[in-house]
Amino acid sequence: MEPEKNEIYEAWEPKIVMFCCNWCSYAGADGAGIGRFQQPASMRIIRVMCSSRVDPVHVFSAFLEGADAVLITGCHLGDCHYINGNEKTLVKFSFMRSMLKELGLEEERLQLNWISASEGEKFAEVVRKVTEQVRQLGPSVLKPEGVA
Amino acid sequence: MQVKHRENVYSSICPGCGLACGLYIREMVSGTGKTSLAVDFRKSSPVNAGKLCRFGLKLPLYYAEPQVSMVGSQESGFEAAVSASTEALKNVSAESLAFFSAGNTTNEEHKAFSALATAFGAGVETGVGVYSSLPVSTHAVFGQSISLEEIENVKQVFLFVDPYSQYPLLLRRVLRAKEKGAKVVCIGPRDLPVADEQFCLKPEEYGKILSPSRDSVLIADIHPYSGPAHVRAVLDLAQASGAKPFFLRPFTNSAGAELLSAHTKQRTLEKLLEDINSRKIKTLFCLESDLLELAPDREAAVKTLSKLDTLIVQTSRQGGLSGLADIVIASEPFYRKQGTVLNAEGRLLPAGGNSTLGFDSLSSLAAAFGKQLDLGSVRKELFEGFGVKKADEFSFRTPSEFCSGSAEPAEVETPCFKCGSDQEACSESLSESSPEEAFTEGFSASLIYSLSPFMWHGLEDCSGFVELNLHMVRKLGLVKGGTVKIRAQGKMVEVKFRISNIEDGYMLSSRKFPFEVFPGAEVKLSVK
Amino acid sequence: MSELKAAADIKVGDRLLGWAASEDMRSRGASGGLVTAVLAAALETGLVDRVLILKKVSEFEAYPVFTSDVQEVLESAGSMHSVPVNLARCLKPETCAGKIALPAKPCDARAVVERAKRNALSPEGTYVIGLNCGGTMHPEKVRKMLETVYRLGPEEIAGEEIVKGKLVFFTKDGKEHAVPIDDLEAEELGRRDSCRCCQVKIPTNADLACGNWGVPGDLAGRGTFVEVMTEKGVNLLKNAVNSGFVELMQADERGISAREKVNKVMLGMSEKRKAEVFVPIEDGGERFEYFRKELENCIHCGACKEVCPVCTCGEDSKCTFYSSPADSYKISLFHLVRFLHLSDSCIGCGQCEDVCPAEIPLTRLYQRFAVPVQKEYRYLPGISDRTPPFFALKPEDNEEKEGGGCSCR
Repeated sequence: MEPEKNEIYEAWEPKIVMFCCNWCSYAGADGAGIGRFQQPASMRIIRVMCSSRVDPVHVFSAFLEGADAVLITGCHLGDCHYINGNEKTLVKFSFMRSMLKELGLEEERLQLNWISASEGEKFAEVVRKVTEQVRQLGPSVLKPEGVA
Repeated sequence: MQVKHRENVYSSICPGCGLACGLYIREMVSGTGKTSLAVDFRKSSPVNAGKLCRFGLKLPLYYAEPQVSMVGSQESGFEAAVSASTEALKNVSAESLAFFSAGNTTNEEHKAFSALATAFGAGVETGVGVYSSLPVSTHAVFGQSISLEEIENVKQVFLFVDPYSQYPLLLRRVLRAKEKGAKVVCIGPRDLPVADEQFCLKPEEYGKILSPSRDSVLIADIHPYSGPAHVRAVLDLAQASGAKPFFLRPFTNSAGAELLSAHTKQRTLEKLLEDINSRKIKTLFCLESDLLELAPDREAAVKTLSKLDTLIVQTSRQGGLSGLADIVIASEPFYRKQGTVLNAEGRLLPAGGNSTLGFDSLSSLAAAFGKQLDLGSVRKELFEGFGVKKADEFSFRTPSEFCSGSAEPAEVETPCFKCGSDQEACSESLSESSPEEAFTEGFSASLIYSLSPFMWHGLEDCSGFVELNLHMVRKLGLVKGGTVKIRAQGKMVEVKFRISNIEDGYMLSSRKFPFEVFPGAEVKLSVK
Repeated sequence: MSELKAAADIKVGDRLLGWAASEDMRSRGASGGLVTAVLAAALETGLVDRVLILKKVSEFEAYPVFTSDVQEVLESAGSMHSVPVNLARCLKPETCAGKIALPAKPCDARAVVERAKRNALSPEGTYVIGLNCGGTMHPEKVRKMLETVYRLGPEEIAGEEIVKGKLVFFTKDGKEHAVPIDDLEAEELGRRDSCRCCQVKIPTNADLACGNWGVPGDLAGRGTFVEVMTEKGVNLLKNAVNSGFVELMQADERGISAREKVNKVMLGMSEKRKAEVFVPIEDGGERFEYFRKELENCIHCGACKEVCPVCTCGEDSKCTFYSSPADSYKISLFHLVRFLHLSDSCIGCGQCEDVCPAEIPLTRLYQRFAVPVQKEYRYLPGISDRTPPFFALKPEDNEEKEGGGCSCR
């Protein structure tokens, strides 16, 4: 199935879904914006109340719908607004990592970071770093046909 | 403390399609009398080794709403409904009476039904009208069958059906054949993973493009929507090449019903509905077949069927048709019937139960009109006619005299398919009928229904979407996760779409639309 | 010789030899009918309300059903190697009222333990009589074997047994026909693939572990070796002895070590087969392509989930709720979610592979995910009470040694 001749073909840019917990990392994202720290426009941010809300179903759906990578961010250990939510995230993350590795997805495509509300600069740094890593890897194998 | 819990386990078969896969139905009756069903896997079954398709696993849904006998709009007892039917039939003239059964029930019931029809000088119609436009000499071919196991040993498989949605238990046989080195050629609008070669052809092209050898099998199916051009082309291909044709059928006992109704002139569904509309037929008796589900345009069919003087329906499941009926005779669910079914391989299989309610109703009706029959002698006749000693799942029918000769070749009822074999003419007539819908932005596509068991039986299956290929989606400018608008005959439907490997210019749907079109007709697609 | 063991002396850890007291039960059941007798005794005396049995339809067909009729328990006696069904799936909250007992192969017993962790059944009310198992066979293959290798008609068969590495069929004329299992398996016949890779042959996770390994020559075919694993097992045996259904005696050292030896040999064979099946796949693009290609024939019937004995979510499971035929995905969300959810709990019973209409080698796929994960957490599902690692509240819970973790009972 070839594209029409006059169709505009976009050059591929990494598209990354980022789950941010409401209390720490989403505020950190705000901080990155306010502090005008430079970051590429690769992130599609989804705010959740706690990083432990992120279910593997969400992560898989993101990949299957065309995300090149998924980032889960939350509060530092010991700082979770719900006391131990981020510890549960760690358990889930460890499982997802093993599974996706077995499936053939590169490790760098699923990452977990703790970013606090005051770490705006770190937020931008993480975004830059991950975007570059994913750009090197190329589009994800799970991306459906026809999705940029 | 002795606790009495009992599950009734029936060693039965799936009523979904003509393969008749073996399974267990586990019936649990609670303290309040409520029955709940579960499906279990019968791994020793020779047809399917216990495996089931999506429909088979959803059988608890299929059996979920049992019918209750009704006379008029009142619930009545079984006996009362049968008496009412006897009365109703007494005052009917034979020419205005029709008997319909698509093949959803046992051979025994079908035979009793035929006996009743014979009392009025009629036969049982199965809705597979395409037979009437095929030369009688070819009819015997449809009675031939091969066992699914034989498919595993052929050198080439030509699939005119899509085993991922139709007759799914066929798939593993084709996969095994492929493992043994067979070439798999698929003919249809969808690119199948199992295909070595994929073509999307019109019937007139089969002979030119396809080259089966003597040790090939051509797997197609024959059903109420079959187009004569397609069926004839497959037969011609088989004859020319020496390959074996294998025709599957969509209802569990289609094969048995067809053989038992071999001497009846079959009308197409459309002709039958037309005759009801024109009041040529004033009384209709439907056996375990929901004509509303089978009719291509449900709304029109409702209007048509409402014109009948008397509609008698014998069924075990609730449905739209029993809602319209004047008399409903409630029979037992399929898995409880005592009776046999002939599957597409020619295997005679028991339905699994002990109840003869459905048979008793038909035999008492037949008796009221002069035809005496009892279950024992009916079964004896059936076994003799099929050439088997017992229905033990391993006995195959030996093709015999059921199908020979005396079917009338005289009046060939040319099927009045709007879009049967002549697709160009059809698309013209459609665009003429909707001049106000002149688009510059829309595109046309051929609408094809994926005729799965869900569609044949009217069972819901998360099918609210159509399938298009990526190219068409881009051409139309459809939005990811959005919908597409489909227009035909002045009606419009908006539905989600899925991107699949489909031939350009085609759209596949697993749900019926309210358009009176037959498979292969043109519809218009657009975003706005 | 040895004297009979008194009921009062039975305790956890005992290794005994037993048989049914009545001649009738001894001849019906395999190896002296001990298991049948224990089940019948439990039902007769009211220790349990119902027994889950395999009701025979023919030599190749039986279906699981609950019964409270002792006669039916007796009629279900005998081994059925051609009925590869997982009995644990029948144990659900709707069916588990009261106390029940069931005979269980190691995979059945593992599934029972896992289902108990998921509150699908009550462990106190479920008496599990474990059976040693070397493997079962699919009835379709059995018919093929009879036709092509043994050259017998199915109607001629009176019974079957697996003895010393040979599959033996007994015909109605009194003859025996034996073929080494290795020979059968070289031709893709014989046991199911999951059985060939199975790593639990003696059900030490059940209340009793019964079998004919370790039975001395003079008792061969008329006695069962039974190891008492739990207090419930003690109760089962005490009950059976006191009600006169069963006789027991101490097993001797020779028998005990013979049993160990057979177990070791069988496990060695499994390791060998595993190495053949689980060939490492190249990392990179090839890996995903392997999974995608294996799953491309999936017709989305959902049978694998229906039959999985460890799956207890029911209709509202995430794998079915969030996946739809309308998704245009490269691989179905259903499979990804199930691969993840089963990576710590798949017991490798092979039921999914048996029922897949597209003949996808599902057990292998699930085990590819499960084996590394179960190794990482040093967790073997279905053996102990340990909470599955996926349900842990913090990573440290999973770092505890095997057998630890929070109790779920």
